[in-house]
Amino acid sequence: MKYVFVFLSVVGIFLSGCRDPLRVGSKEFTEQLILAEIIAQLAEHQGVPVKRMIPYGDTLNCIEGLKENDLDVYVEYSGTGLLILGQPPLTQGDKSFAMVQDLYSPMKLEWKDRFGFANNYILVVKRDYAQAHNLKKISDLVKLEDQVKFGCDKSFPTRPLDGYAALLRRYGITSEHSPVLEDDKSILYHSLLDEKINVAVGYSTDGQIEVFNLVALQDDLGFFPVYEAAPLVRQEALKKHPSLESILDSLAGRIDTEKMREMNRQVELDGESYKTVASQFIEEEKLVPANSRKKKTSQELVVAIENLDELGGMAGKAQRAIRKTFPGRRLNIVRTAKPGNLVIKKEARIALMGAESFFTTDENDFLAKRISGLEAIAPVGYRMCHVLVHKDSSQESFSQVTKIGAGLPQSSSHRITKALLRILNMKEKATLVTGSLTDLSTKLKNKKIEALVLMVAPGNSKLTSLLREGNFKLLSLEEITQHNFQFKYPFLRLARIPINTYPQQMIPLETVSCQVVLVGPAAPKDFVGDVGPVSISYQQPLSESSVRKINQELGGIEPVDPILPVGKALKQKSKRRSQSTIGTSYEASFINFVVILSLIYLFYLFLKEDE
Amino acid sequence: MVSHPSTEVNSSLAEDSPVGDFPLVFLVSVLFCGVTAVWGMVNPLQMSGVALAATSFLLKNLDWFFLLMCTFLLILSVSLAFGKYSHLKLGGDDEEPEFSTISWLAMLFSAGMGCGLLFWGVAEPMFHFMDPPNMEGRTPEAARFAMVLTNFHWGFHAWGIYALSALVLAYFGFRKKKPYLCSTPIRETFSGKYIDSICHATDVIAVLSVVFGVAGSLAMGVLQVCSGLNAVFHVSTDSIPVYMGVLGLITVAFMISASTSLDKGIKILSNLNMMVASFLLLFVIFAGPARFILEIFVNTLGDYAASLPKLSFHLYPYEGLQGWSASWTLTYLIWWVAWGPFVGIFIARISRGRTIRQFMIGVIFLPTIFSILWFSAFGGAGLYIEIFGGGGFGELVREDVTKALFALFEYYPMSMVLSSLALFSIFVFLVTSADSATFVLGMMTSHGALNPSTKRKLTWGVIISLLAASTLFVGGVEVPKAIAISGAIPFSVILLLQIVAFFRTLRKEDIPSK
Repeated sequence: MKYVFVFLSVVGIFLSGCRDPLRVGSKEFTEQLILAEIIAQLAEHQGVPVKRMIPYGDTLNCIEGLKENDLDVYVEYSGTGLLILGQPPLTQGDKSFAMVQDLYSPMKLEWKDRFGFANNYILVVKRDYAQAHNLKKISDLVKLEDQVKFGCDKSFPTRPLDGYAALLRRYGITSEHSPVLEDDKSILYHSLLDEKINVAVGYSTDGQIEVFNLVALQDDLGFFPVYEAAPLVRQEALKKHPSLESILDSLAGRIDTEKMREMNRQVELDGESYKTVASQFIEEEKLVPANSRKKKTSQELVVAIENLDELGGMAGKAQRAIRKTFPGRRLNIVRTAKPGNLVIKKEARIALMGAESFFTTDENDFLAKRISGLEAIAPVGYRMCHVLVHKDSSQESFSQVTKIGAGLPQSSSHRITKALLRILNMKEKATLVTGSLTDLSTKLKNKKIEALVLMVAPGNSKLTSLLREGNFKLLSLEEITQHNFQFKYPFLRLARIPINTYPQQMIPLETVSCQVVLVGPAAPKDFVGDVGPVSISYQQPLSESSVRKINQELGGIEPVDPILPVGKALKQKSKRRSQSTIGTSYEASFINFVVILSLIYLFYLFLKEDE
Repeated sequence: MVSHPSTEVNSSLAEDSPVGDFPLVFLVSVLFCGVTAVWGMVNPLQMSGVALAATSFLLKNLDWFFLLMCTFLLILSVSLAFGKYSHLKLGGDDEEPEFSTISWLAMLFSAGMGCGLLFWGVAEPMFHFMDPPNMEGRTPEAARFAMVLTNFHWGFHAWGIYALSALVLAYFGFRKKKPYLCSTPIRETFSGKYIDSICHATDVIAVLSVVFGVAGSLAMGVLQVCSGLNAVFHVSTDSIPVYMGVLGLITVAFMISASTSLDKGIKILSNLNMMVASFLLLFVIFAGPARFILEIFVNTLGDYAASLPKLSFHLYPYEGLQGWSASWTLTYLIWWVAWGPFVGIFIARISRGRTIRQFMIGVIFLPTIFSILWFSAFGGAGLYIEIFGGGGFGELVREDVTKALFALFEYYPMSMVLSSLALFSIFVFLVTSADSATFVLGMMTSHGALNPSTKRKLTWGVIISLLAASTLFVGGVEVPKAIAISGAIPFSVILLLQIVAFFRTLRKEDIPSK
């Protein structure tokens, strides 16, 4: 029975190879990969053999490939299609599309129906910035006079008809700053979030727009031309693969801007593989009968972070590095008060954790005690201790505070607060109140608590917006410099928050900081059984090559704080220190001597003649 | 499983000193197992700490001895195959082989295949690919070395150890017609006033070696079955009650087969299992990257043959990687030594009438070639995914070794079918191994009787299950792992004694001149 099956599958493999495959290509960015993959998978479902050339190259490569019969189909944009032929792109979608169809048919290339979305240039600003300056459309940017700072990719200023200079001229905007050029989309959006630029030039299908809660300014003068996406295919290929026409028609109008944005977001920000996103799309849109779908699950990688971590900040940086290190794995970000615990319990593989979580401190201990089972694999950044008080508060220093809000139990804010209380000898007088950030900030506003301690990265947007509301101010921890806490709390380092990190912050704030690292499970002590066939019940630490890759992707120069246990890949290779320089170990010598004697005895037994 | 009515064997054993109805060996071994199990349940960390400390000390400081010993055993086997004793028959001089060559080879295959191959088939090559000793991981060199290392652990050395253990038993049992005990060679060859105690100690150590080895493998098997249930049926299986349930199921199954003379039933089941495993192998090859796998197979044959002399003696004195070689290579080699009597008895039983040459070639070469093919298929598929496919498979294996096989099947069509078949296969392998273990243990504690009483077999069945349960109960394989290795280390001394005894007796054989 099994032979029949094997034979049939072999025959099937042969037969499928006999026909010419459909060559599907794409450009090099995420959206293109997804769309090409959708076309490829639909073709495969129809039994058409597909040769994927995803990605194939940039715009010029693709069009040349199509013309020279190296590709059969790829997704192109109407505006770009006109530009390739030297035509000025149009701002009206239907006219643009009709024109491009006319122009391409003599080349034996056909534009099939549009997907239903346009991937135009758009100008994006942060939501609070838009609210502060009442920005809804691009014309509103003139209100900012010369202060507007643009960011865009390197090719945008060079575009003659729809580029940077043309944009400013059309709208009458001036700026005393030249635009910040950055090709990496995620870095560009981060510059926007960090307020290094005010306006970013992005694409209308960028996933970041929703995730970071950004506002796209309306193109009220209709300046930007339209780039509607549609498949561009060789007429010859349509004849060779008759089912291709119906496949492409089935996609007509099926993908709107929001759907495309969501798919982009899943790949770029959630770390999903574009192939999985494509097959999920096909399934949701029921483009193939349900039972013929092959279920392919990408194994989930669980990453644990703290509740206050932001995907726009350190957590986002870590997430991207992890995504690049583990291609093909779907990331599941789990928020919890104590991420390290999830790793120990094997519910998460990697956690983003502060250095303080490596230690447990008891009342009576002089030194901090380390926990086991975790090791730091990469440094990500630093969190600093921020103390919020009511703006009318009369207290000048932290030691005078008695009722303190400290965050959720077990969270880093809570532990740091407890540490601070012990360092500053405030244990008797002060009481701690736990709760979520929203609860505690409301309590602080109503003066039910006197201070709120937050352990977050400087520039955290939740903190910034709390301060912008105008009810609070930050307190400096001057007195901490008088105390010696390095023994009991080696993970705390003195630091200062620079001026103007937060609105109306006129002086630098003295505080403590704590390194934030990515953490994985640690190998048990180094004896027989930490690797190999008997160690299967342990969770293996991350492989050295993965650790190296994460560090490479994060790109930090600073190493992990020396007090933390690190993974093998990060350990400095130190010469083994032995008791004596000649390496004598009495037990080892003894046992070896015994064994050698026994071997000699055995040999003697062998040689001995029987009596 | 065929029984040999050799009555002359049983009668010569009156000199063993039974206590009441039970031989001393049985009582002492049961006592020791009981103490260990209780200590393991009461204070597992301490017990495993002590055992592991002792084991790691021995394995790290005597690593040269263990590697040399196992390589020496392999060299001995090969020299026996081609030396002047190679035409000696394991039986009377005119005895014909008991089974036809085809059945003999098929039975050897089934002895060789076990849930270890299913378990580590994917996982081990991936582990070594990601983290090879003294080399950068995830490179083509690492892939080559990974395949060679895996086959080094499961190939000639393993089978050389089994072959010699089996040969000694077969020689003394079939040719000299003495009881099938590990102490037999010693008793027959040496004399002196401590011989009796030494022989009892030998038997006890041999029994413990088998018990702990089997209990450990049973515990690991239960973990894998649970992981498979999780992967295939999406039941949450990470809890003690589930482990106990699965273990209970396996126990009931093998107790039934041990207590009834369902020889036929077991035979059918294990033949079916062989077919299922072969189907999985063929499917993995032909529904996957067939060319890649076959390339790896051919390549590994050459790489393995070329690296064998080097690897047989390869340690890491300059790089200080004793921890690695202790954890991987030596652990495997010692584990095979521990299983020596168990697998040895089987191979010996089916090889009556074979010449030493036929025996050695059949037992060492064929299962090794098959293992190489197996690892090329499963490991090769995993390597393909990691190198040319989407990647990310290696990390997955690191995260949970028990899931490796099932994760591989997700890349194939009909993955549910494959995973269910694999699950079935693992389960049946566990049942048949445990059944055979109870038989072997019964034999070893009944003066080598070829048909140990059902009561004795069931006793051992219960003990093995309890030991496996106590380890799962404390949430890890620490206890039997510690003991299995600790039990195996003294057994290696016994193995050497057996071999000395064997060669002394062999010397006295009359070799007919050609």
